[in-house]
Amino acid sequence: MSLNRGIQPDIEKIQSLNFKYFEKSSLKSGADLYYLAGGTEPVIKLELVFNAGKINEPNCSVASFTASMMNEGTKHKSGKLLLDGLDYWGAHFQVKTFNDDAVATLYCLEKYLEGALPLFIEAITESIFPERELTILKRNSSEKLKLNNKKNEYIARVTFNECIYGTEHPLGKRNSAENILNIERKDLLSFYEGYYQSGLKYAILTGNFKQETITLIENGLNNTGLNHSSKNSNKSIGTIQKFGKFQIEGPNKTQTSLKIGKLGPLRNDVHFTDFQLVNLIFGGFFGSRLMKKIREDLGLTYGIHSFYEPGKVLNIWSIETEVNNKNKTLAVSEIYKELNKILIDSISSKEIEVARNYLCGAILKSLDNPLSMSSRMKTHIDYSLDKNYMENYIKEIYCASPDSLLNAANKYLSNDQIIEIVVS
Amino acid sequence: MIAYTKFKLKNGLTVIHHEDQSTELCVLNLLYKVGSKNEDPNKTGFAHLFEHLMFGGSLNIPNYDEPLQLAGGENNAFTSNDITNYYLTLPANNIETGFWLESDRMLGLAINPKSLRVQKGVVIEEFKERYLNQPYGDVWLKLLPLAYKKHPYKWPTIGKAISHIKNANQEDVTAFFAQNYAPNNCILVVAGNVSLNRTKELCEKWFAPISAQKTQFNHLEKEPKQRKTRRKNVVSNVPANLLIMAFHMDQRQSKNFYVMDLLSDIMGSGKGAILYQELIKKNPVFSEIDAYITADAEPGLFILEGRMLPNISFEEAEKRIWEVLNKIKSEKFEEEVLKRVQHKNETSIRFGDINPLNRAMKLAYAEYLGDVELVNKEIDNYLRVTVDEIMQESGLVFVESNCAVLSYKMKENESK
Repeated sequence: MSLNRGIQPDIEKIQSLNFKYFEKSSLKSGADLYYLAGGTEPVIKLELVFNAGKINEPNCSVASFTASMMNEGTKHKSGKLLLDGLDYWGAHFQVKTFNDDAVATLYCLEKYLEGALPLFIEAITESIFPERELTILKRNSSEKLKLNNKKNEYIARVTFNECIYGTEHPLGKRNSAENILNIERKDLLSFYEGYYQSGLKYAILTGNFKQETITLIENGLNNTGLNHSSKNSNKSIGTIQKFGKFQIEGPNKTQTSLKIGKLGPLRNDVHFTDFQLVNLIFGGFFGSRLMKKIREDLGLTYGIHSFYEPGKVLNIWSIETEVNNKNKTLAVSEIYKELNKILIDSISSKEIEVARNYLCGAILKSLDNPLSMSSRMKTHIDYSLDKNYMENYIKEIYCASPDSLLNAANKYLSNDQIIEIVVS
Repeated sequence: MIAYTKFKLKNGLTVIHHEDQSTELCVLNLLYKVGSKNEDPNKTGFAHLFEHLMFGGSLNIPNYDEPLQLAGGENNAFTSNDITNYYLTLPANNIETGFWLESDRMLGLAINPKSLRVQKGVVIEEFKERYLNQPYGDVWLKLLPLAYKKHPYKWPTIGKAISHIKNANQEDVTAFFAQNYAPNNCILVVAGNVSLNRTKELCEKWFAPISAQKTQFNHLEKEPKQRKTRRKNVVSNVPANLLIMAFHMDQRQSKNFYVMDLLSDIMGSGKGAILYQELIKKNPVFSEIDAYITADAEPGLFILEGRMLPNISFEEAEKRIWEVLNKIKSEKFEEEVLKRVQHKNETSIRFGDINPLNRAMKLAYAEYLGDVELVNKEIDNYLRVTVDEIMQESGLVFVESNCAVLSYKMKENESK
């Protein structure tokens, strides 16, 4: 039997997912604990989701400072003692701030959870935000801001957000050394009280765990003063605040950072799935048109990507890349050429098939790992998606056609109301 | 416990099979035993350039990525000082596409003048973006030649200079492929929801027909013992002064590797760590400071790296670091300090093992180091380390004559 290396072996389509739906129980505060066990390793990931996103901060850095100082000590323990204790149990936690919320995550082996959980809960519920540690954080943050301000990429991102949200909106406001200097302990305390102590939205437990572990966590969370909050922030702005083309002189004189973007569809838009495929084909993965053209064909950059990020305030679609200054004009014009092409020419069935199969593979991968599963769960919870959502989503992906994608592209990627930031 | 079966094909390809029926995916990981340390000193950056060329199409398959994406797969690769590692993940049913793609590019590449020109362009952009046009981007280009005088770790994987990439021609590239990309210079790990029989069958079908090559194992020059402190000062457009101190340490396959790895955690990992407590909190000298090891296969470096606060002199910063180091060498710390990093390490190893891809990479790397069973011994190797061993080894490593100091100074006008 001779081997024909020129022909790809037969492939099977992914038609259905082995998507195990998660369960939930109610905590005393009224918040829910969602859980899903899976995987082979004896690990636990516990996430507490708070209403403490950037969207609710009264001033730049307040949300992120509050989050990052949660490990600086409580009424009963210094930060060092707290962290040493967690370390002893091989556990660690972090609190991350996002636009819409903040998530405190504990990573731990199941066998040590009993030791680690009370320390985690104490850190999250009884933080004191010591003055001295705040001074250190302020000092180090201004140093970090200085470093960021040396990067064209940072300037491009900040300017882009100003355009999208406006300079007074929490998601658009630009940070400054002066602002950092003016942050006071009472700012953090009041944010903490308002959005953490009274802001628990829900909890998610994933990993490989037994029934007793759920009870342990329920009891742990029930014995705290954390209050449930289901309210969403009211900072919607409807649409982007400013569009147009902006050339900015950056700190780095040799590289150019580009950021181009506009408003994308809402999650419940009829074009949502089609638009995701359009974005994927345009710039959303390694095999995208932008990567093929700008990187693989012209060699102008190390990487170019487009992103579609549906959020609670606005749904943003954008392109990001870095090129050498001498290639700046060429890169910009090639990007627009690709953008025009996707508005005029139908995408071939073959190109759709590749993107679709790739996307289905990526979804399969995201459901395979008990820990990455938690971000899928979070989307389900945040947007109240039903049990059959994933199966329907896969079906919708298979329904995409050259026509439906052309429609989605024309509805959302036309050349009007575009923001273009060039920092060089 | 990570269970595996190891076998070898007649052409010298080492195969490690690791079955996991709980996943719907499968993974192919190919570790080629070639890294930047195997490069000609006048043609550096080749191993990494090659990583890019490997995606430019092979003998019978003009495009690597598209058929993989069609099968629902994803791939990537990385190059280090020691190895070049390629990996892909696929839905388990479509595993054969992985064998088809990887065996064809082991068989031969279709390097044409255009793909060579474009990939050189991409790598040169990467060189500029990451190593030249970023604050502190060229740290490794400065530090490595200071720390190493003979051993090829003296240049980074991106290469010594852009000119080396620019000058790469078709003959160089063809020769590099012939010498290094052969079944007998590769470790293949097949992991995930695939049986041993199926793995054997697919290996026979796709990889067995590829003939072994005469690989050229160049002898690497050993790094002579450093006899006195080395210093280099750099002035650059950066927002803050940066101090880096690098010490030579033992190779990956030695007990001392685990000793120093844990010590780097004790010193540098998180707000509870010694460096943060002493040099950021108690008596502030730095705005950020870290300790880490390069974790190369051959003797590597223990590195301390700190961004200094304004108005602190390099002398002062260095002196304060030495105070911390001398304390570690002379004052026995509590058992519990060690226990903490050991437990933390256990957790991070277990979390890493969640992912079949990580397990596959670990298996390949352990086999490369000479002992595939290492994947199941690592946690114990870390747990066995004692406080005395840490003191003893730091006494040997943290001496001035074993240290390379890179002072990275901001331009005068920047401080205003």
